[in-house]
Amino acid sequence: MIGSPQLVQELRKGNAGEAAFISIIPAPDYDGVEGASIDLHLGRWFSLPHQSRNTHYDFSEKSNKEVSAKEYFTDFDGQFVLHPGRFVLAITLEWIRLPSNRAAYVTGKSNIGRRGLVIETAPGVHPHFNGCLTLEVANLGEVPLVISPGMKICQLFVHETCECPLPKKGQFSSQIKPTFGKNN
Amino acid sequence: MRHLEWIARDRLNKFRDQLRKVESAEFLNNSTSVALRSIENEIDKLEKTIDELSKLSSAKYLFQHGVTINQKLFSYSNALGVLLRSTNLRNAFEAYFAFNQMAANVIDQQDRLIISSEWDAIPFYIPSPPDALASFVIIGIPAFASRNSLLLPLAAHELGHAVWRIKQLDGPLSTTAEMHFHDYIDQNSDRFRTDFNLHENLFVQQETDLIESECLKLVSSQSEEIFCDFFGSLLFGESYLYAFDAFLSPGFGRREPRYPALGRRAAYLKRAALSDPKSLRKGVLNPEYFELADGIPSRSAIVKLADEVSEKLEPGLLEQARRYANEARAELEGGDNADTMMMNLRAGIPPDQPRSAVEILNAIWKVYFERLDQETSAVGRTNIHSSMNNLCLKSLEIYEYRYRQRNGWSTK
Repeated sequence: MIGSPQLVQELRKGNAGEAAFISIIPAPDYDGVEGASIDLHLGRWFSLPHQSRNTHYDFSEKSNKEVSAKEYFTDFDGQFVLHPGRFVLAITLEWIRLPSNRAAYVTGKSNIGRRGLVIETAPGVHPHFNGCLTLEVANLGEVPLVISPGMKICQLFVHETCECPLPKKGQFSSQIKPTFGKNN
Repeated sequence: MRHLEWIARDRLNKFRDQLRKVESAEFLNNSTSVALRSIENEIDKLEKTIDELSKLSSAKYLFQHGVTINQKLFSYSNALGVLLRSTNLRNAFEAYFAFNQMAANVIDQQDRLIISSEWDAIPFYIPSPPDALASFVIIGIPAFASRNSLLLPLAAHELGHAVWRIKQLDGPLSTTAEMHFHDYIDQNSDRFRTDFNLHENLFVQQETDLIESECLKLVSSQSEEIFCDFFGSLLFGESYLYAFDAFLSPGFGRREPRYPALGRRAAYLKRAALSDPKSLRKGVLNPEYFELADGIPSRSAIVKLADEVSEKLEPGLLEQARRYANEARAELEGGDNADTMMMNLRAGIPPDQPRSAVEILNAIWKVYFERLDQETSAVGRTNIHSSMNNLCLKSLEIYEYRYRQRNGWSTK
C-alpha cells in the first residue's frame, strides 16, 4: 500500500498529465492528505433500477440484458435522501486514472458507515482504470440519510502491482455516470 | 356565473395546474423556476381581469378577454413545453453553470438562461418568447445533440440572438441599413431597374418602396445572424467553427435568404475566430460544400440586394459583437489555459483547474482531432467521441466545482 508522501508525489505528476502516474481530479488538498488513503467526494448522478421494469436478476442467464434504470441528477446545492433499506448507484466526483502498475481499493468512511451508510461491495479498482467510480450505496440503518454532492463519501487506498497490460475490454472507460454494467 | 366566464376561469386554472406540475420536476434549475413564476403572474393578471369584466352587464368585453386568454395560453403552451424539457435528463446539466454565468454577464440579469432538449432540430433558438419570458435566454438544443457537449459553442450563437433581442440592437441598425439601401440604388440605378424589371413600370416609386420594405426585412434578419456568428466565434474562438461545421455537416443544407450566404458566413467566422486563418483544420468549413449549398435555390434579385446591403453593415456588427462577447466572458482566475488543459486531456484525464468553458471547448476540440487522426475505424472514432464528450462534461463540472470552492462553497 502506498503511503501519503509517495501518493502525493505521484498525484502531483499524474494530475499534471504524466500518464505513468496516478491521477485524481479534482485534486485533493495535497497538504491535507494523511495516512494511506485519499478521500473521494460524492458526484451528482445517481441510478436506481426502474420499479416497474425489473422483475428479477438472473445471473445464470447468458444474455447481456441490461438493468433498466432511472437516472437522477442533483445540483451541488441539492441532496439525495436514501431511505432505510434502499440501494442506489452513485458516482464519485473525482475522475481517477490508474497507471499500469497501480491498483486501488475503495472503502467507506467510518463516520458515515456507523450511521448505516454502506459504500461499495465490489471495491477493487484495476490498473488502467480511467473515469469516475461507480459506488454501490445502501442505507442499512433505521433512519433516512441525506447525502449531498461534494460530501466526502469514501476513501481510496492505492497499491503497487506488477505491470498489467491494457485490458481488451474497456467497459467502464471514461464513465461519468453510474452504470449497472452487464449481467455477465 | 356566465358560461363564458366559467370556461375562461377553468382554462386558466388547468394551465396553472400544468405550471405547478412542471415546477415539481426533480431537475429544476433556478431559471426555469423563475420563468414558471413569471408565467404564473401573467395567469393571475388574466384572472383578475376576468373578476373585473364579470361585473359588467355586457358580455362583450369578457368575450374579447376570452380571445386574449386563448392567444396567451397558446404562446405559453409552447413555452411551457420548453420549460418542461429543460428539466429533462437528456440535457447536459454539467454545462449549465458555465453558460448561465456567460448569459448573466451579458444580459445583466441572474437566472435567465433556459437550456432545453428539443424535438425540433432547427432552430437551436426559440426566437419569439412570450412577453412574460422576454428577459430570458431560451436555447433549445435538438434532442439528438443535447448531451453532445462538443456542439456547445453553438449555444453562443443562440445567446447572441437573445442579446440582439434584449439589447434591442436592431433599432439603431435599421436607419443605417436604409441609408445603404438608398446609396445602392443611387449608385446602381440602371442595374436596380433591370434586376427588378422597373424600366417600363409606371409605379416605380411604389415598387421601390415595396422592394425596400422586403429587402430591409431580409437585411435585418441577415444582420442578426451575422451578429450572432460574430458573437459566437469571438466568444468561443476556433471551437465555434468546429461545432458549426460538425452540426451542419454533411451538406450544409440550402441557402436560406434570411441568413447570409454560407460562403460569406464562413469568411466572417474565420475572421472573427482565428488570428491565423491557416491554422484551421483541413476540411473544416470546406468552400466546395458551401458553394453547393449557396447555389440552391438560385438567388433572386431581392436576396442579392439584401446581401449587398447587409455586407455594408458587417464592420459595425463586428464591433457590437466584440463588445458583448467581451462582456460575456467568465473565468476562473488563475485557472489552467487551453495548452495546460490539453496536456491532461491528451493523457485522458480532465483538467484540474479549468479556466473557462471557452478554454475547455477549445482544448477538447484540438485533442479530439489529434485522436481522430490516429483512428480510422468508425467504431474507434465513435468511442473517441464518446470519451471526449465525457471528458468535456466532466471538465465543465470541475469548472463549476472549482468556481464554487473559490467563492466560499464548501464540501461537507
